[in-house]
Amino acid sequence: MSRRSVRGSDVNLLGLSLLLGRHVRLLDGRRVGRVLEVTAVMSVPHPRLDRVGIGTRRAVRSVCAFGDLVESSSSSALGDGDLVLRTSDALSEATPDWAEGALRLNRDVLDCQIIDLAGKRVARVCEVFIERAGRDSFVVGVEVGAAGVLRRLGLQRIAGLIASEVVDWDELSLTKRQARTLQLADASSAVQRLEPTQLATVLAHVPIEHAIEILHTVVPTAAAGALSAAHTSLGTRLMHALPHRSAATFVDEMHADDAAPLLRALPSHDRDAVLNSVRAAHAETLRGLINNDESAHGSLEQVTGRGRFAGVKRGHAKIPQIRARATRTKVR
Amino acid sequence: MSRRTRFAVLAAVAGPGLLAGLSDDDPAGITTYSSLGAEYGYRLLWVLLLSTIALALFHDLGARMGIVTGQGLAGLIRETYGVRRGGAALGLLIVANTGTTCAEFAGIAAGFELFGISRYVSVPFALVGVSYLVLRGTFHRVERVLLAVSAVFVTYILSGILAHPDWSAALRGTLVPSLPTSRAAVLLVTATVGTTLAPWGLSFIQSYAADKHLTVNDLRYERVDVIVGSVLTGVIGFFVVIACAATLHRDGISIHDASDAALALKPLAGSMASALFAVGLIGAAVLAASILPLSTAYSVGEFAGRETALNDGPREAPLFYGTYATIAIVSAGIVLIPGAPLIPILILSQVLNAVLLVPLLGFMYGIARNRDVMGEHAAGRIAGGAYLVGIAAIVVCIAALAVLSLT
Repeated sequence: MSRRSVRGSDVNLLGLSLLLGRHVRLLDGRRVGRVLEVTAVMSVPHPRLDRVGIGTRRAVRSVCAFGDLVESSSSSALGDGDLVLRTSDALSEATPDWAEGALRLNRDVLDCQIIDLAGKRVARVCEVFIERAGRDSFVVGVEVGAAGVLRRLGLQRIAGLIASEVVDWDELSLTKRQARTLQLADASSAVQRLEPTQLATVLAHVPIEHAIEILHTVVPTAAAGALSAAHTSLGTRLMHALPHRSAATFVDEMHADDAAPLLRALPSHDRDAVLNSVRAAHAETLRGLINNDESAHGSLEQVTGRGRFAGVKRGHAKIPQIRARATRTKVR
Repeated sequence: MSRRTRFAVLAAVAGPGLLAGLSDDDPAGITTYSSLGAEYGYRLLWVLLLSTIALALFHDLGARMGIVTGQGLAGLIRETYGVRRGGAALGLLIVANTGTTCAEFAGIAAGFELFGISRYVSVPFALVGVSYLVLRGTFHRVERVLLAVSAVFVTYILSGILAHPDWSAALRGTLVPSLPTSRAAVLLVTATVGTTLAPWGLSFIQSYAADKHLTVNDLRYERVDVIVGSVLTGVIGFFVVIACAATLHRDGISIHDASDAALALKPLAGSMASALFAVGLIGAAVLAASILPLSTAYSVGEFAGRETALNDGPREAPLFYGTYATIAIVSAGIVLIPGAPLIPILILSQVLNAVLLVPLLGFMYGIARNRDVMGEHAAGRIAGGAYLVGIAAIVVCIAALAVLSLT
C-alpha cells in the first residue's frame, strides 16, 4: 500500500469525523438532530457523496441531500459549529431502506479494517477525506495510523507531532468479507501484481469464498486470466460460486476457448444467465462451442484449425498449456 | 459424520474455551476460592456454580463473536462504537491487564518461594520462558504448551481429595444457596464472581478464536469447548474451596493469599497436599502470565488494525509482539523492584477489572444483537434476555462491592 505522508497541518481536506455528530438546524434555527451517517454512491474515479442521515442517538429519522447542508455561519465551507439545511423542504423522512445500495461511510468505512489480498490486516481507517468539486463532493482518500486516532480522541497537539498517512481511494477496493458488510482491500498488494498462473495458484490454496473475494478485488482482466490459467476443476468450482453478473464480466474478458469448458459445467439455467450478460458476439461464439461435439471439447482451435496446441491433449504439457492460455487473455 | 470424526473435529477446535476458562483460575482466583473455603466452609459453593454459568454464557458469546466476525473485541468495539469508546476501553484494559500480570508474576514468585527458590531466579526464568514460547512458537505449539501447563490444575483436584472433605456438605453447599449476612461474606461472593469473569478473559477468547481461524461451521464444537473449559474452571475452584473448607475452616485458620493456604495445608492435610497446592499455584500463575500479555497484545493490535497472529513472527507483527514483550517485561520488572507497592497495584487492577467488566459486557451485548455485524448469528430475544440477566447480576455484585468498599 503506498501511502502519502503529510503533517497534521497539511491535511487540507474535510474529514468525515468532523461532520458526524454535529447538530443540523432548519432555516428557522430549530434543531432536527445530529449527523449520524453520510452515504456515497460509487462513481469513477471516486465515490460521490449522496445523502446525509440525521437523527438522535443511533436511529436515523430523516434524510437530506449532502449538498443541501451548509455551515451555519458561512455557506462557503463546512467547518465547526452547527450545520443548516439550505431549504426547508430539503428534509425527508427516513424510510427503512433509505441507504439501500449506497456506501455508508460511517458504518462501512470509518474505523473499518484494511486488509491486503492475502487477508493480512494492514491498518484501520481513522478518517475519511472528502473533497468538494463544484456542486459535488467526493471521497478522495482515507487516513490510517496513530495521528488520526489521536486527533479524534481530542489529542490534537500530540497528533500534530506525528505524520498522517493518507491512502488514495483509488488504491483501495471494497470487498465483502466475514460478517462485516464492507472492508477495504489494498489494491496495490502483492496479489494484485501476480501473473495469472501465480494468481491461479493462490486461488487454489485459499477457501473458495476467499478466492471469490480475490477475484472481485483484482481487475477483471487479471481475474479472467487466473480463471483461464486455473485447473478446469478449480475454474468450474469458482464459476459455480460466482454471482452471474461477475461471472459474465470475467467471461467477457476470457478467450472463448478457455471460457467454454467452465460454462459447459454449469447447470443450464446458470449458464444461460451468465451468457445473457455477456457481449452478444462473444456469447454467440461460446454457445457454438458449448453445443459443439462434447468429445472434441469444442475447442476454438479445433473449430478454426488455428490452434497452437492442436493435437496436444488436455492434461498433457500442463504448464506450457496454462501459460499459453494466460497470454491469450484479452486486454482492453 | 461418524463419532470418531466428530471427536477429531472437536479436538482440533478445542483450545479457546479451555485456555480462557482455566486461566481465570489464576493466583487471584485461587486466593479468593481459598478464602471462600477457609472463612465459610462449604456454605458458599453455590456462588461458584452461578459464576461458572455466567462464565460459560459470556465466553460462548465472545468465542461466537470472534468466529463470526474474524475480529477481536477491541477492534469490534472501535468499529461499532467509535474510536473514543474503543480507545477508553483499550486504555483501561491495558492498565488493568498490566496490574493483573504483576499479580501473576507475584504468584509465580510466591509459589517458588514455598520451595525455597528466590523470586530473583523464578520471575526472570518465567519471563524468559513465556516470552520465548510466544515469540518463537507457532500458534499450535503455543496452544499445545499452554494446554499442557493447564494440566497442572489436576493438582488442586488431588489436593482436595487428600484433604478428605465432607462430600455431602459440599453437595449441599453447591445446590442450596445461603448467604451469611456479613459484609465480608458479600465481599467474598462479589470477588468470586469478579475473579471468574474477567475482562481480559473475554477479550482473549474472542481474539484467540479469530486467530485460530475457526469458522461458523465450528460454532457448535466451540460451544462444547467453552462449556468444558468453564466447567473445569468451576470444578477446580470447587476442589480448592473444599480443600480449604475441610482443613483451614475446620481449624479456624484464616489466610491472606494462596501461598498462605498452601503452607497452612501442610500440617492439616499432609505435605503432599501442600506441595500439590503450591505446584498448582505456580502452574496457574505461569498460564495466566502467558495469556494476559497475549490478550493485551491482541487488543492493541486489533484496535490499531494491525496483524495479530501467533503464526506471524515479530517482523510481520511488530506491534503485537512489542506489546506482548512490553507488558510482560514491565510487569515482571515491577515484581522484582524491592519494596514496590505491589498491594496497591493489585487492588487498582482489580478495581479497574471490575469497572471495565460492565461496559465491556454492554458492548458485547450490543454487538451480539447487531445484525449488521453478526448477520444471521446475531443473538435473538431469548439469548439476549439471558445476557441481560447475567449482566444485571454482575452489576448488582459490583454495585454491592462498591457500596461495601466505600462504607
